[in-house]
Amino acid sequence: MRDKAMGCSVLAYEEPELKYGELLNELHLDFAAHSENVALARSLVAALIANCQQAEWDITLSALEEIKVAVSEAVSNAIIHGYQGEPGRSVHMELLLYQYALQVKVCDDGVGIADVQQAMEPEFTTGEEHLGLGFAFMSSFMDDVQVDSRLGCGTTVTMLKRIHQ
Amino acid sequence: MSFGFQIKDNTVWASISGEVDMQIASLWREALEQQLNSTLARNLTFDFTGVRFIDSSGLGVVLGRYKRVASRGGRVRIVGAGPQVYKILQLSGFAGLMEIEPPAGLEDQEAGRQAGGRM
Repeated sequence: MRDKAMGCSVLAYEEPELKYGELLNELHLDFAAHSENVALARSLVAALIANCQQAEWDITLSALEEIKVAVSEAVSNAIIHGYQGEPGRSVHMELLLYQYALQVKVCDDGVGIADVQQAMEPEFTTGEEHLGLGFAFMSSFMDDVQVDSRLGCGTTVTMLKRIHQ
Repeated sequence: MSFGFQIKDNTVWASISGEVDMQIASLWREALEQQLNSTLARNLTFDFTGVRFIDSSGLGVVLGRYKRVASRGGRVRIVGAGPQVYKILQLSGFAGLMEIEPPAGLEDQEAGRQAGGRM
């Protein structure tokens, strides 16, 4: 997925363990691009954090809710925009829980985004009644959001949430 | 997740509870449209008391109904949002379009902000 994707996100995540501390837990998952799996993805990220015994990850409810919104937006985008609701497709999600950061990657191999910059503007939308707010929420609630996309190949959204060391 | 409707004082009261995401968005949108089609009530109030989570898919439904109601001179309000949902509503810029009741405990801060400009 990453090999196919364009963009410059790879450099930013070089040797993340040095910056984010030890990798405490990780989860790699492929799930059907169904709307009910948006809630599943949110629950999984919340459970991963809740089950972490390390004191740093005893984060506020507010911070946890923000992460859930960001995950919800990324997965919804994959299903609605990436796959245009097409059945039988799957979304890949990776959660890497470090001592001081959480990295969430959401990948689809759907239609891709022609202009990532434009798609990330709050006003932009391709479908009826979608606010284009999805990327705005991801950017507001996470510390870093990278979008790699290629038309006809798919989109990878990589988000990072740091916690206080 | 559940939603329901009531009509009183020329207003459709649309209550919804649970997690408002893309799974429920289209069903809720259709139900709202049906309600608005079958009433003469001008205004729309969303009761978010039971909403535990909302994302842009849920907000898209609210915005779409706002456009419809506002274009006919009606007023749209959101009441009962808890602190997390309220924060999302603030970020979405809806406050410039519709009246949003602040959660209990935030009312004092809101009053301070209005009286004193920027906090």
